[in-house]
Amino acid sequence: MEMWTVEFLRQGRALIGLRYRLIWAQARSSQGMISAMLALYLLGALGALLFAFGGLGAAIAAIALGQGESISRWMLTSLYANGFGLSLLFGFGARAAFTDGALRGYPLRAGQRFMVRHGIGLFDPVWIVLVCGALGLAIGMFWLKAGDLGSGLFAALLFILASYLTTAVLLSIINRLMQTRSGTAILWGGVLVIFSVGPLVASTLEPSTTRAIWRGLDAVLRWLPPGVAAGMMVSGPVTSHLMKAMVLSGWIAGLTAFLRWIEHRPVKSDAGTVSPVDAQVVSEDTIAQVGSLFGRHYGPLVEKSLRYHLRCNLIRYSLITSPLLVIIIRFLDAGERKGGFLFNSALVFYILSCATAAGMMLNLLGFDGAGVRRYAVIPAPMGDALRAGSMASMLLRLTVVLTAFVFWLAIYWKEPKSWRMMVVLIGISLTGTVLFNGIGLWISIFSAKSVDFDSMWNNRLSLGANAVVLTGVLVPFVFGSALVRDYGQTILLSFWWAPWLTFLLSLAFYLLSFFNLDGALRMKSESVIRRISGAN
Amino acid sequence: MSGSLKNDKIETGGSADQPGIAISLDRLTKRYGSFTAVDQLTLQVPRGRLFGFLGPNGAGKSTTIGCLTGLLDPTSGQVELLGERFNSDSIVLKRRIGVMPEGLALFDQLYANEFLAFTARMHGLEEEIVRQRVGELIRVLDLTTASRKRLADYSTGMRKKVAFAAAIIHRPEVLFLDEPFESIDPAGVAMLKDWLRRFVADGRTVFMTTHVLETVERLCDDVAIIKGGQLAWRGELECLASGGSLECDGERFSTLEALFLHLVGERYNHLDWL
Repeated sequence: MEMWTVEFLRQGRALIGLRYRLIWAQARSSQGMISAMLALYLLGALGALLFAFGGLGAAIAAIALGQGESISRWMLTSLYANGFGLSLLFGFGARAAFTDGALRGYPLRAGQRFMVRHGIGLFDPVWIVLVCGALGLAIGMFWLKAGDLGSGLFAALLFILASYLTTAVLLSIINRLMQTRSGTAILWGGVLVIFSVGPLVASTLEPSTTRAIWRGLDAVLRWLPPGVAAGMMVSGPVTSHLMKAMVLSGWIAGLTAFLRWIEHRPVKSDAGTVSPVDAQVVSEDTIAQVGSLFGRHYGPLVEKSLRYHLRCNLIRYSLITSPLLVIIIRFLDAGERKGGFLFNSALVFYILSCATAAGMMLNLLGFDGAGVRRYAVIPAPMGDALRAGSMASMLLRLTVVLTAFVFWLAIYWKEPKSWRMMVVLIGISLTGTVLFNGIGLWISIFSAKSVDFDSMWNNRLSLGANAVVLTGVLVPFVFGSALVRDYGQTILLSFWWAPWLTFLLSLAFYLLSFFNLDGALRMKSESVIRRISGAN
Repeated sequence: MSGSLKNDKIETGGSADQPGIAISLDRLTKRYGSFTAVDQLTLQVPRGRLFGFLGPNGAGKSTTIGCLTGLLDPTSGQVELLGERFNSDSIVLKRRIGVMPEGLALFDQLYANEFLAFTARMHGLEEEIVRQRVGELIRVLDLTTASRKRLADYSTGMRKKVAFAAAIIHRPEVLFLDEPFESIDPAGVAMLKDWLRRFVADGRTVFMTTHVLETVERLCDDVAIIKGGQLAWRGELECLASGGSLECDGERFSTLEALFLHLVGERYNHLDWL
């Protein structure tokens, strides 16, 4: 082997080692340790399950039904979707751990930097799940004498590589779109159309049309990486397997070339846009005017917090898309679980009033980065920054609820309504907003977490915040479902005052928290600052 | 880059021309667990002086500034600023000091003008003065062309200038600067030094840390050197300008660098492979 290849492999191994040391270092923090243990447990369990029941199970089902290739094809497609989803939501896998710029400091050529970055991505824990599933399928096929072990394992390897590259390409495209306002609008518009209009169109199709569409999709899938890999895993002539291997290799080469091309394209970001020199020295926009409503003391802090909320892509688009959640009320009664229009509306209003903007509401200082130290040196108690953030969050959330309410009235104008129904929905929305903002004040102190302002996809909630969101959404949902199941949705109308009672209790909790957080914050301020600013 | 700021007398705090002590530390101690970052540090800085606070890496300089500015609470000991007891809750005193902290502590998602306006308003300046000073600082510090960029997208030097502007915008009586000149272009440094000289000539006080000893020698009136969280030397530098020397441990040093190396220990270890 040539000298430079040996050197390159050594460097690659060192960087992969560094990546795992960084994961471990993160895991050693108090919150990270628990998260890492949970993640490892889930990954391990999922991997084992996928291997045992996913891969092998699919193989057994495929043989039993005599549709080995077809079932394997869809099995691999779902595996791929899992990998993409995990990368999208948790930032694992295809997100390169090191930027090209960071690797320029090492003696690596451009091609080597590309290989190292994506090699590290490929070794990330999330892909273990995919490897387990794909290997399970290949071994299952061989075990049941429906496929050749060598070509099956080779297909699994190529499939994993192609899946990784497809994910990396898609994430690169999404990230580039997210850099500009127009791109973000296009992306979210597309997502909304797919998730709102898609099910609507699907529900109107004749069964024969649906079957034809599925057959068409299946035919297309034969030429996509999961389909080709599935074809290689079942028994067949050597020439056919060779051809499929070539097709898969072609996919890998094409995706690699496209990934290199897109990564070398300059990013057109709105962030660096320079306006004319004579731009207004001190902004007098709507945000500044809204901030000034909070007085000379809180005004600047509220204004700053509003700007942070409205400049953060994650929060901005959660605010924009939240009102559109009311569209799904129409589809919530599909299947056996029928809650009824009122219950479904109540559920959606509760969720959009609290859970959809949890990122900032439950971590009010976490987006400030090193700026969090500024709160300690300005002439105001640090608690004022939290209170101002909470007021900004509350203001935006109430605007969302109001918009959603108008939207709900407009699109469900045919549905029978009563004043009690309106009172129930408003009471539930106010409860969600006030309760979660109250809890957010405490979570921001006791479970603060530094988050990347510009990153769109990572799970931004701390362990405490995750617990609050899961409990806060699941408990009312389960309790409400049980009530409606046993007594029917009219019980909500009979006890129309109950949401207002919970609102008043939540308001009392919020106000108590609002005025009494300073002691706790004083005790924790150094730790909060250290945790968010990353200072030692 | 050149420019000057109008020397208007619109104040937010008390008078700066009172004689006396601006900064007083009495047995200041800050511990992190079992590690003592600052150990029984006692120090006084008179008003109207440009005070250099020096020490090797990890000596406790930033921790001391943190305790002096409200970023950290001392484990024990006492801090007084402008004759009043100071801690992280001293809101009124915080209006009278300006801080350029370690790491700059900027709100990266704001534009420079928004950040400066925020700081000015938090210090209680009237809206008219906020506009005037923000505009003037952005122009004088050459930030005009980039004033509509997020601070996260600024170069390190420009971020330093913004942090410096935020520290002085309310015309404080005491200014704390942690490594103020590093990464700023030479013309910018010259202007900032000129501002600082005028600042102290007006009876105000500057307390700054830096590793550039030549800057300290030319700029500062007094110096303290700490090592391992304890005061190692304190003295005036005026004698150096007239060809004199600094005395320490019975020895005389003609430059601050020689004294510094004597105190922290010369370390000329050799690397054979280099």
